[in-house]
Amino acid sequence: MNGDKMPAGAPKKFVLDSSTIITISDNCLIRVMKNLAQKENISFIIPQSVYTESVETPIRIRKYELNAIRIRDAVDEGYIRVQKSTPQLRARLERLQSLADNLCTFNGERMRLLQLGEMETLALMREINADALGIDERTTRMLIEEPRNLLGFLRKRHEGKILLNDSALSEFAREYGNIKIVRSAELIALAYEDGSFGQELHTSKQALEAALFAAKYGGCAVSADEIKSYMGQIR
Amino acid sequence: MDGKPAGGNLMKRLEALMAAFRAGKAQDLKRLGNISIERAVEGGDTNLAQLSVISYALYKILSKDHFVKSKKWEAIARSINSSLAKAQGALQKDKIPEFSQSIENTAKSIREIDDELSNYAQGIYSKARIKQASTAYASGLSLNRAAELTGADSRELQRYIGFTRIHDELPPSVGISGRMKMLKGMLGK
Repeated sequence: MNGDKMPAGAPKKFVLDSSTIITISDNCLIRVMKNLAQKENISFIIPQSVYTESVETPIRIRKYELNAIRIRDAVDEGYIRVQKSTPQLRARLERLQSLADNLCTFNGERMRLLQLGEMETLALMREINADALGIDERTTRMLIEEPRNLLGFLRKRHEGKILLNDSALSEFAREYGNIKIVRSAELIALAYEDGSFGQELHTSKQALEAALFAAKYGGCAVSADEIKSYMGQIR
Repeated sequence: MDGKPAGGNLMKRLEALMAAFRAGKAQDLKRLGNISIERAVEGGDTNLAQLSVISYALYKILSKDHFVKSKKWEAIARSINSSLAKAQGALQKDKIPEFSQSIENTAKSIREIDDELSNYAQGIYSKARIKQASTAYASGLSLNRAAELTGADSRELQRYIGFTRIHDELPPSVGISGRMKMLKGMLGK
């Protein structure tokens, strides 16, 4: 990013989960992240496990190699930063894992909802005091933002006794409940609104709508109604 | 209870799978796959998740004439039945590593017939993993947890989920506009 003008002040730190970075790179929008980083003074950060999952492993598989190269280039150019694991992060992750694994039970047995990679992203968020979390998958987002709705959904879906551990949930909410979440859909919308599409995509309503639906079909947990409602507000 | 079979539940599902396969009842296998993955999600049972994948893959195979009418079908069906019987025997003796090995052998037989007779690059077994993982995600597991439980590739799973209606059925309480407002506030815009 040498020579590019950046807004004054400390950059806002956005930690990205693998689901968001995969949606963005799958749709060839990774360089839009570079423009966003420069225009909005955002530092995009991924934990080492996300780098392994989105670059080091897939770069050896023909089918995924190109996407892996795109993400690796973003890291090499410096607009996505890899945060190495530290003893403090590992300790925080262990605490989170024990908490997350005890959030709910099904017929008395622990029901594990999250996987280690998602938990590491959350732990990193807190460890570096990040400003926002980019995550496209649904369950982690719901657990942070609307755990009671998630419980209601689980109860409706499963024919058994699902119980929430209130003390574990309170602790989880204290630690992680106020995380601000964006999805690739909002990063795309922000890029459109501030002109960060740059040379990657024509800046038009049609291109914006197409990019949002591409994110949706790429697996971002956004509904068609949300996209239509947002597009209705765009002039 | 990752990796631990739910004892009687697992045996019951395995026996139902074997009976449906021997009788050539494709729809029963599909139904069994669906029930098994829901129970696997609830108990975090990777063995049951694998049975659900095998049920679904066998359902797809039985539904395709070019598989079941192939000259090789009889031998392959015998090999699948034999692996499943070994898995049953191991489970009766509570020998879980042997059970897992027999289940893996069943998966191997499915992959072999698929490689030989299918026209598609992505095999029936991989597709079955993705399909069952998407059900696990729709049931409330996170994306990576659903992939972990079933052995599915998380990238393929994410793409597959994107083409389903899963995300339209449970929209978030805060939509794009609300999040944009929050984002702009954070960025001082």
